[in-house]
Amino acid sequence: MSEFAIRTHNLSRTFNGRPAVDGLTLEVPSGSFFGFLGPNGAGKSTTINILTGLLAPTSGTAEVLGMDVTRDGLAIKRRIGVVPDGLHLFERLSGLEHLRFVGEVHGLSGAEAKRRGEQLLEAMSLTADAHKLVAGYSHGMRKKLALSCALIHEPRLLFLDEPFEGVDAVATRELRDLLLRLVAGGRVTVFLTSHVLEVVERLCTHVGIIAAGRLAACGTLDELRHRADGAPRTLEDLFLDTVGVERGEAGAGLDWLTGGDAPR
Amino acid sequence: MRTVRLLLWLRWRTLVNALGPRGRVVTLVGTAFLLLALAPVYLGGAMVAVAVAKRGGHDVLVPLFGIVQFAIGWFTLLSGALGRTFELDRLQRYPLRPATVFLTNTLTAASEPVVLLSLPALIGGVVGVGLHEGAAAGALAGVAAVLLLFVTLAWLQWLLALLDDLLRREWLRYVAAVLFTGTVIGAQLLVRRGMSVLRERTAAAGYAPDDVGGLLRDLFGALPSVAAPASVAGAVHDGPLASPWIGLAVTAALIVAPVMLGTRAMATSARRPTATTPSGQGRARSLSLPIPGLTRIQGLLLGRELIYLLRTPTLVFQWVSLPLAALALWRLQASDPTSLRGPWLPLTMLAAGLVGRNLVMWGHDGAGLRMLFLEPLAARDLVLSKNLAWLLTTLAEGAVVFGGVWAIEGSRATPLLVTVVPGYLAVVLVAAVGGTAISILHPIRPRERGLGRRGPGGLTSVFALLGLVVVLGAIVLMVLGVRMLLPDHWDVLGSTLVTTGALLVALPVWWVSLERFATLLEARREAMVDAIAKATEV
Repeated sequence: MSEFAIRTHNLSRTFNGRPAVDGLTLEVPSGSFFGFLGPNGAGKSTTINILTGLLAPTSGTAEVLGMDVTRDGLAIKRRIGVVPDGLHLFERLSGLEHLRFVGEVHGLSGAEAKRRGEQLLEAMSLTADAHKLVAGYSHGMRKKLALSCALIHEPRLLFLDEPFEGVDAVATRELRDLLLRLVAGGRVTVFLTSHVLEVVERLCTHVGIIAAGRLAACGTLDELRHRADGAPRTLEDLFLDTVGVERGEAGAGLDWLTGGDAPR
Repeated sequence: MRTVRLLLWLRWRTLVNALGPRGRVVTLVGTAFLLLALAPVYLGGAMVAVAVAKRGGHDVLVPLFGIVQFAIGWFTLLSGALGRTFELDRLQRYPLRPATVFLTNTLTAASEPVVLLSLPALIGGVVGVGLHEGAAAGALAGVAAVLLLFVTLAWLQWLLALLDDLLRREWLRYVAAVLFTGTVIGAQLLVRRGMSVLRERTAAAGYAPDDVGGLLRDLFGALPSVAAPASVAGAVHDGPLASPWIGLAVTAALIVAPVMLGTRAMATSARRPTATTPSGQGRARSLSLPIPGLTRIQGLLLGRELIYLLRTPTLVFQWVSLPLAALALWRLQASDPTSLRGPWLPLTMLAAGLVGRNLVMWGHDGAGLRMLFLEPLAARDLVLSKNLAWLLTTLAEGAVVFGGVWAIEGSRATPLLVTVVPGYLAVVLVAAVGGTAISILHPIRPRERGLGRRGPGGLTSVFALLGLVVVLGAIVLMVLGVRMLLPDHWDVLGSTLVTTGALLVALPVWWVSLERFATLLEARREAMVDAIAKATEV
């Protein structure tokens, strides 16, 4: 196993001349639980899309599991699992059919894909809905199914884009424990984006913060939680300091909403 | 009315925002081109309407209204030319009444091309009445024309709402397909009977334009949906509808009834869950189809395609209705179904169906498209499986039509089928090539609800259809040319050689194109995900 699961150098991607990712240089150690943070529109999803082979970079290089993303797209996809933002599942397959399809695409036999699919559905408490079309799944059920799809072929690297968004507390705990077990085994690296800083703080060993397409901070969680002068700070403070947000009074200018006397 | 206005604004903005500056220019140029190309149809109709109404006054309104209503209805039913602007279940989170949405759909249906093309004839008729009887009579004729459009569109919208409701039910979607097919076949029978009556009576009386007008007046005067709006302009002289007030009341009832029925059907279907339990659960065998010549992954992709397509109600509906309607058209329209003239119209109908579907070859995957691109799948395997699934379904359609003709006509049809089938296969392959290219270059997410026969619409559809009709026309012209050049007893052999030659050219072109489209797919993935997986339909 190479030292880094992900390495990018000066990675850029522009849309209509505007940079979404701008000279990103990033190293994600193998076996780490890496939290990739940033405000909305900072370039997180674009980075994930490049690393998972959905998007071609405009310039720069990116390696995933030691392979080049532009040259070895198929080989990379065989070794990674992705829970994309927005999920994007096959609505007209049942949950079990979906898992079997993904399993077989990754080279599992029909019987093995079915066995693993059933086990994953059981682990995700979806057995009762195994034969229901995905179109009828709730948001949380879709998340669990997407994660199951990402896991069925034993990936070496998991990309999780907002995996806990819309998932209930019980399921969140189950998913969290499962992910921690995966990383603890040492064979899997997790690359996670989330807006819930508490989750990142609880799960991640390493954190990278992206702002306006550039890497603003990167390191182990312990390193980043201390200021230059050694004073401790929370992840929220770190995040807000790094992305440079000025804190104002919430709801200022919304008198009509907060009970002020603004005319209708 | 404020909500209707808001919805109309929403429709306008979504339409405009869907096009970039370049897209707007292309759309304007394309529309201008189409308007010029179709000018003989609508300007011709307008000039005839002005001339006839100027001479005959408001008496002309009944046949004119009848022809317009029939044209809108017939084209809608035959080609799925009319759609629904808004689906209620997409708007459920907003405080909107189903009736408002239904009314908006009825109003926006007036902007559909099939309706716009009939407007010049209606306006011509109104102007002609004005010139004959004065401005007041012309204004009244204008009101009657607007009422006619409202009645026509409200009934068609009700039919669409009813079909949509039926399509959402697991088994009733097949009933809907048969109902729709029955409506199309019924329309064919009506035309055929009306035409033969017209032919017999004009032949008996000797041809005279006034006689034809009188016969059409009798024919359409019996239809309340035509006679009631016309009576508002005083164009009906017999029966209860001779009174314009009764005509107005009947017209109002004819508008209120479909609005109420359609609103109810729409509200019911919006609450109906579409997720169902698929059959054949839990089989242990692989999802991959073991087809010789295909790798396991290709078989797997083809298996998923077929499962997926069979669970798309609009496509199932189309597969049932289109070949049956084409078969009926073949049998009913041609005096001799085994002559070379027999298959022309049904084949054009099948070709139109091919274009509607091939442009959304990737579109029905919807959000799942991104999942396909995330999996370790070679682009060529994806393109091949899409093409094979599409070809299998179109070949099944062809088998129903050609098999049906052979079953009905027996060996009499063999010489014709030997000529036609290779030609049809050549057209199918050309449609596969064109459809794959366009569906990658101009990815479109099809409507998930409503009438499945409606294509993705827009200029892309029109030009794709024209392209395919040109190919079909070229093959037909070559066949006709060969038949003219050869002695009669060589006709079948010569025609068959031409169509088989076309197939032999189309086959390698299709095969070679797969590789090219795989490269194209690699380059266009992002745009496709943006257009299909991320797009949401209002």
